[in-house]
Amino acid sequence: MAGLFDRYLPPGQMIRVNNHHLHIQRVQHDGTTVIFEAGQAGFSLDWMLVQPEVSRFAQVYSYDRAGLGWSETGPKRRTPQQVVAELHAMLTAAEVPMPCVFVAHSMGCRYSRLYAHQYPEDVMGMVFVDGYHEAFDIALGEKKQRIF
Amino acid sequence: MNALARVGVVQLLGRRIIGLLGEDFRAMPMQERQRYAMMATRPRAMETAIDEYEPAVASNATFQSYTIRKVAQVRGKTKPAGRMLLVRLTCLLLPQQPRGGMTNMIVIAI
Repeated sequence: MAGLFDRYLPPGQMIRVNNHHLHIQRVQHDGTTVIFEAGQAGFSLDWMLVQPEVSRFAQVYSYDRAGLGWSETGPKRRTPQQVVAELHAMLTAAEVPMPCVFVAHSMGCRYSRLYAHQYPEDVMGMVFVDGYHEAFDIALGEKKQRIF
Repeated sequence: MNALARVGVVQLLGRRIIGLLGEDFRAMPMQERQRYAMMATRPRAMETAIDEYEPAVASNATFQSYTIRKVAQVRGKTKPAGRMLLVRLTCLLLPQQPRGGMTNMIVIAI
């Protein structure tokens, strides 16, 4: 793994959260804070074509959840609560100005919703792109969920 | 997944996957596309995706009770929140979407 990370250096900063480091990349320094949340198995580079466009009018952050992109693997149990707690700790440590607008894709929408529920003063808006909703799993049924 | 298997997956599926991505993505320099493919398939990425998905599904019932706040302070004034706008648009920017593909976008102004 070190070889991969030596070859492709993290484009942003590594922020320590508990016992591991998470990767966050900032583009532009002024304007409303916009945080990009990738979908399942996604990471910061999913937004590499979007981030420069939005950074024309906003302060834009993308990051990698633990175990994805340049972020180190976190605690095994990746509950939404764990993911959101790590995100909040990282944003605080990185001194990201709040409140923010979340732009989330797919599964990332779930984390954004939970973040807005837990830290309502930190979130002024959300944009869901092909958002994942719990009704999707219910419609899918248990058998197809396992295949998925 | 070890390095050899990872390279194998990229070699076998990489072209097909990248073929599904948008024209903007395919037009990017080879080095950039290679970086994306290698980092997307980094060790433990698949395990992490599964580790995230299972508890997410398990928390479905709890999730339905999560709410967003009902009012917000906008430039010093209290405004009703939760206005939602569903937009269908042609997505040209997201690398996951084929060019011309439709995607759902929901905007919630809190």
